Amino acid sequence: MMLPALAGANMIYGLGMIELGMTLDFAQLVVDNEIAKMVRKVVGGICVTDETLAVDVIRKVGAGGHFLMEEHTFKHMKTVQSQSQLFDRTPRENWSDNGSKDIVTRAREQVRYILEHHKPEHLPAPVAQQLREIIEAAEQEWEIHKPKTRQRRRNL
Amino acid sequence: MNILSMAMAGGTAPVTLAGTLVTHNAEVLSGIVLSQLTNKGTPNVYGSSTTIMDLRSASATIGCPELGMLSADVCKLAGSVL
Repeated sequence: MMLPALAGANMIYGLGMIELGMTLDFAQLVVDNEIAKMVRKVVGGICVTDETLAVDVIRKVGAGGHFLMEEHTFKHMKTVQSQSQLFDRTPRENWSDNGSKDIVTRAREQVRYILEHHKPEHLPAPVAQQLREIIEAAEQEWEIHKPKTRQRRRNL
Repeated sequence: MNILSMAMAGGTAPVTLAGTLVTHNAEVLSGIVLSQLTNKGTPNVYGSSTTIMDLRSASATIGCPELGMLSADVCKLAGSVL
């Protein structure tokens, strides 16, 4: 993802695809989502203004000080720092105390959570109805017979 | 001698990346000056382990995108010194 993004691509696809794109894997999809977030962060670049250069703050803190208590830090920390839901940034002890879960396990847990809790906003009923009618009219026109769908569900 | 600074954005440097690069550059350049004052002509490496300090987990994260971004900028800064 990173190389085409840096070259200026404005659409990158393939997230969640495995086995030459013949299979879409939900766990792979949430992992790729994390990678995409990082790529977008990089492509966003570094904002350079008087406020972000923070020379006054640096002067105030001085050599040997720290920035943890600075208003400037508090003001920007929630927006400028990247975050990861899936990759564990805590020290190893925290990771092992929480069950030493590898990335696949964490990804599958996140998928299950999303499938159980995500409530997509439905299209308004008249819009859905109209779309259905358009599709059915087209199917009739082109004599398309609906295949019996055979769903393959992986055990997550 | 490798003059290596590890500015941690939000901890030992401003949380904004531009400000982090200000402190990083100042630290390395002053290190180079000190090195040259001590032994003129010593070969120096403009080094970096600069990254962010994730203020939620209080750890200096190495796998974050900011590390790559900062390293790329540090590379440019080093080039401008030479």
